Amino acid sequence: MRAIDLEISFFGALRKYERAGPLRLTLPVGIGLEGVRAAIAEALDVSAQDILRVSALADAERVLPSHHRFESSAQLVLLPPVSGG
Amino acid sequence: MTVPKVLAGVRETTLSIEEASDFVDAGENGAALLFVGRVRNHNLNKPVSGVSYDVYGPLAETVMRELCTEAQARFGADLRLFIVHFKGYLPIGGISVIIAVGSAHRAPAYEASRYLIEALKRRVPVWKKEHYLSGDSEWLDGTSLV
Repeated sequence: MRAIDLEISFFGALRKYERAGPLRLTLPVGIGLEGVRAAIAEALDVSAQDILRVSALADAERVLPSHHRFESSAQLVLLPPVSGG
Repeated sequence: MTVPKVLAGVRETTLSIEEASDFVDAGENGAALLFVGRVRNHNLNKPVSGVSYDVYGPLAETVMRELCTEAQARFGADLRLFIVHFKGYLPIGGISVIIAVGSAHRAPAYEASRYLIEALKRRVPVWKKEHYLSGDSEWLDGTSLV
């Protein structure tokens, strides 16, 4: 099985779950967004589950759509609900 | 040389009203409208001492540029737009965001300014952590990007 490495940084209320730097996951090539979300949920404390459900995965350019598939290693961010202004 | 009509950014230094006003000023404009967001001393009946702003800079700047493009498409291609958000800690009265609009006439300036601040609150990756006089602090609820 070919694998990719995802490095996921957290922001806002999620920062407290970033214990020793970004979360690093090794996952199969072609995994979909929901698969990555499930892997993140598995890696984090149970107390993070509610906010994870309303948090978006993004890269530097855009929030990733639900049909996105990961074909190569990437740096991602996990964004909780926004509250700027 | 073409003068840029949009400035969108994230800053970790004090935001400047003068910079915003200067950017949207132009001889063909009859209106310059400024929106200045500041940290207030209370929220939901709790006395606030300050606010920390967390920002994902690369995407925040990309989304703010998109909002400006949308505002120009809706309200006028000639609008001059300045939208800058602060990152870091601010005490009461500190400026968290400045939106400035320069326009030939006032109506598009009001419409674009309102559009930009409302869209920023819903779409730009920025998070507020309020600090209270009690010593507690908490991240505020927001709008999901999912």
